[in-house]
Amino acid sequence: MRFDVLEPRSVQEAVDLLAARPEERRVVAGGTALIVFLKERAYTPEALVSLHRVPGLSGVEPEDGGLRIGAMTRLADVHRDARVRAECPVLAEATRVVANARIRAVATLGGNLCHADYHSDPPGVLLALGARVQVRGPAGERDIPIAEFYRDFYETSLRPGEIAVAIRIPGSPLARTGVYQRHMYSARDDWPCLGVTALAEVDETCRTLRLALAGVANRPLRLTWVEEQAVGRRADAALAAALADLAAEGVDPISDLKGPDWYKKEMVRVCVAEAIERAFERARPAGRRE
Amino acid sequence: MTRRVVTLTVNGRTHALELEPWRLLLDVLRRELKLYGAREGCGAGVCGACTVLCDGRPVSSCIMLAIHADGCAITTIEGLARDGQLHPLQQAFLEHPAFQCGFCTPGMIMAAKALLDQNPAPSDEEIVEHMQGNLCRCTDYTGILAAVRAVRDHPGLASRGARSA
Repeated sequence: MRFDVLEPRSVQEAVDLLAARPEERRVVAGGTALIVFLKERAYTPEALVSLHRVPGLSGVEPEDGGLRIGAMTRLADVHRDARVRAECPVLAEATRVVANARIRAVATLGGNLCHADYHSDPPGVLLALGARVQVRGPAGERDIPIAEFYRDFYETSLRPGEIAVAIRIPGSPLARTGVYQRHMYSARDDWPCLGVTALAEVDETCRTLRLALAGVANRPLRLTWVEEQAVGRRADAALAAALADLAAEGVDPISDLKGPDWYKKEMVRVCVAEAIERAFERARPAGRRE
Repeated sequence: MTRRVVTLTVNGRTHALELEPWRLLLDVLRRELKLYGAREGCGAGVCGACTVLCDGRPVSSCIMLAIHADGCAITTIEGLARDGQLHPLQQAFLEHPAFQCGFCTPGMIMAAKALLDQNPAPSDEEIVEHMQGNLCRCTDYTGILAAVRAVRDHPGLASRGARSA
């Protein structure tokens, strides 16, 4: 494992260094995922472009009624952030359970997204939240919706020379009451077999439902066909179970070390029902608990 | 490839080290500074045997670039005892007993120290949640958890620990 480490002092310098030789260079943030890949010789870059000396890439700020989280904000700092906890507790939940305390102390939210691990926890939550990744590249700045950010296993739609600088989460009542839960059959610091995000707006009936799954496909999956069937129906356990059947019938899970396809399909049924029911319960106006 | 000067303050002593850019923190601690407490277990950030504190945060030194620790205060297991007096966590690990072969022990103790420094009164559940990223393959976890709870439950010991590191 031999490579140079370039240490730009600004985003523009980082973009220039990366764009100069995009095939031979890789961006490193915390490095908790990348270094493991380098040790395994999965990548053999000539140099890493480290963002650790670039100022202004960390922290959580309010933006247009929502949140803007710097790409270099560590996962531990995301889940401990008072604003994230108050306005987007579902993201606090998802960042609190990634890997172990040592990884969360070093890994960053931007690094987590760009690593594009299909069973990681935060991407599915950010997909359901309708978040966007703010990127800077040789052609300037643009926002990529999370729904378009993932291409394939460990592949994003970042163009050569582009760097993620922040994650933008739109303000929404859905973000305040959402549920993230994982299905594990191994140790808690492992990747989940399934990660389920359910966000709901509820009065008597379900007004909005957003549902995303991690661990079933090559990238986080939004279950729009289930979401559409929820609207206007009485938000109760029976609906949650019916929707979970739709979810299970509609997914074609991949088999991996966390479980075979048939097992995941059945667990989608179980976990989605539970997550939707919890989301309905959390979203119900006070005094209308069932 | 040009070497870099990386400055690490390890257990209170500052070292300016000239290193190749790809060097990992664990490797530097062991080979350059001859601190053998942190070990390479899995080499992938999973087992916790290489846990050290970097500005108070627990990190897997086996997957951390030394360059990324430049300017940081690093605490290793060797930095806990003071004047021949064991740190309360070390004492508690001996008393319970919380180890057998000892390979995971430095990492376990550093992980526990990170938790108690940040949250002196964690619940039993919080202790389990925090410590679950450190693996032990030969003792049992009950002794390890009991040792951590013991230090939490004896504020006298805990405050002595806070002073000593």
